[in-house]
Amino acid sequence: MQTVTLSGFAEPPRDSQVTFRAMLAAIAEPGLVQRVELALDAPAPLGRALASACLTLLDFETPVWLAPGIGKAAGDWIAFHTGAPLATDPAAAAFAVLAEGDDLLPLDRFALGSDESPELGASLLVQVRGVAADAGAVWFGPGIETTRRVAVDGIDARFWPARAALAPLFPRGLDIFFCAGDRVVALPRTTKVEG
Amino acid sequence: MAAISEGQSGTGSETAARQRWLAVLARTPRERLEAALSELMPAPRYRPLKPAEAGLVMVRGRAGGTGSRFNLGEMTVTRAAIALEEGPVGIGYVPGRDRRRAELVAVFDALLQLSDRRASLMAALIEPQAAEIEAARANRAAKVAATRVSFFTMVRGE
Amino acid sequence: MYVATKGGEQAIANAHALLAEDRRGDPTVPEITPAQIREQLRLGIDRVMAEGSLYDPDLAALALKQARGDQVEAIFLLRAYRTTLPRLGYSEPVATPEMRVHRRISATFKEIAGGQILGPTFDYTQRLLDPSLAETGEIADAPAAGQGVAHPLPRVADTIGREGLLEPDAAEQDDGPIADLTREPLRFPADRAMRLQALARGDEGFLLSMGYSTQRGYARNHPFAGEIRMGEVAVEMVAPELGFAIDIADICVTECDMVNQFKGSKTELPQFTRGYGLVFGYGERKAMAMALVDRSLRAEELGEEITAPPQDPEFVLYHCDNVEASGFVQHLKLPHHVDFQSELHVVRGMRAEAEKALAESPFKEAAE
Repeated sequence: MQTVTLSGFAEPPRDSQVTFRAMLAAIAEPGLVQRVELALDAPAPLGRALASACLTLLDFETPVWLAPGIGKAAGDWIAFHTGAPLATDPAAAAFAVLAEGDDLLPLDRFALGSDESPELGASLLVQVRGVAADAGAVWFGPGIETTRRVAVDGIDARFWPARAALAPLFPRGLDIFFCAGDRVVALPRTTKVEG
Repeated sequence: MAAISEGQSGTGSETAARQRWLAVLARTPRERLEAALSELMPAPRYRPLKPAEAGLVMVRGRAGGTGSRFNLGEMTVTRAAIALEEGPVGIGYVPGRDRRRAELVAVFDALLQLSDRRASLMAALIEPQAAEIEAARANRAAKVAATRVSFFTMVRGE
Repeated sequence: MYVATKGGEQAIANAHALLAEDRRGDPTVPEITPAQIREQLRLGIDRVMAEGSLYDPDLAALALKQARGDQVEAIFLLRAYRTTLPRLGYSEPVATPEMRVHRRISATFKEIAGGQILGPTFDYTQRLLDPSLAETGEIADAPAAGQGVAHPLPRVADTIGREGLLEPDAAEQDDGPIADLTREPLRFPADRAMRLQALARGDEGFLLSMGYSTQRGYARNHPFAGEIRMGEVAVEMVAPELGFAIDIADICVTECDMVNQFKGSKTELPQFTRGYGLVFGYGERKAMAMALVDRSLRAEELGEEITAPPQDPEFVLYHCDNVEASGFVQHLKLPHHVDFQSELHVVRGMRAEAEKALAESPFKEAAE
């Protein structure tokens, strides 16, 4: 881990609260784009929002699985700054971090939780090319008054039917944060997507 | 247990050497660290990687002393990480809530990784501090030893 | 039932000011500093750290000053403070066999390897008040022996254990997560890890009385103090930034290994069983009481008949925490005005009925 030379948050208590607030707003209102605009010197391929999310959500008690696209520099940075144990098996991870181009599928390799403890379902933090509102697919469900249109750019089209196939398992499931630059949009397990 | 005294740290590997100086630094008063830093010319240039942060470590014990683990209670611990301009990354863990002390420990941890600095810092800071810790322990152990009971048998009757 | 009420802000502010004034006491007497409390009322600090479940002598001293010396209040202050700090990790289990011993005694053997070491004990004082302490002054240096106490000091348990006379410490199956009361509520059946954590932070007075009752016959317990040791242990933890363990501090702890009555069955030879106590600081009475209660709580595991409260995990563990107990008892100070109004109504109604019945009673005159 001696390769880590990039710092994390300048002011961890304040910066993690700011990020947490944005992530909370994102998952409370799925499909609304939030911004995490903290100055942060994170290694590629971690964008500002994804890097901030890692520093905020991960700690020594949350095993994290890093997809191959994250690479060594970013992986070491995450491990150094969060202390999160690296899971070799995605099923053992509380969080999974994926870079653009990493295979999201199959989704059922991640922990989906149990009916008694659905909160043990994994959260995926995914770097994508772009997220935009008022375009793309129609999202609806809890936290969305009627419908919202959300475009997530740069993920495999097969992801959407695979995610829909998990719906019957509810309350088990996956919660997903798509991050692009300083933008983040959440797709919790309760949100339905059409088109 | 990381040994404070020289020569007990086993393998002599780089890790063992680092464990030893970190154990000594964790027991070095802040004033002494500040003084040692102010004596360095030129002053080392570094930037924080992890700003010093006070937190809790859950201290564990073992049932019966050697059996299954349990959580005894927490203690306050402050940690910091810095990167020297020359490259090495230093970390500091100290008991209590003194953020500056944790940062100073991290600075010295990094400096001690520089081969041209190590010998002089070991001689000027680590070894004298280790000797002081050992002397205090020996002093205490001698006073405690003076409270050891020496039994003698009473002769009964004539 | 509680009803939101307004008012009283000024009264509360003034009460705080009066509290501050009373805390200070007579202003002609010099104000006490946390450093003085930390150094000179150390055993008070140790109890606050043990039951506050937070090792930080400076904070404990501040808490004791703020609480005007009320230990349970100071413990509450530490418990509240800890919730403001992030958890950095878990230590490696402290190695009490490698303790730098300040005191070590055994009641089971006179001659033990390393000797009976009294340390800074009250045990052989006459419990006579010492008027000289009413004055300040220099004290003489304590005498030092030519050679220090052995380190590490052999454990008594290892001596008895070698003959198979003592049950060995239960070996651990894996290094996975263990119960942590700061992260999860008490659950029953409570395993040993959960019980020991609850007892380690439990109220000394409660555990003392529970332990005492086991000696008086309220649980089949025949204890011997196998070993009591107090001293310093190193705290090590694996720094996630490094991936290896580092030694970050010395802390003072007190440990008690209590040796109890024979146990044997058709398949097992009789041997001594054990109870364990470990607390932050120099807390010998607490460590001993904890060991007694740890042993009595093993009744079910050891196939003993459960007849008394100290053998009942729910009774002991639900009631040993003084922050919880104090909170629930003291919540009775909160306004219960509506509750009480309804009770008043009920009692008045009952009285009216009883008076009416009495007035109509044919035996009224006879009764008078």
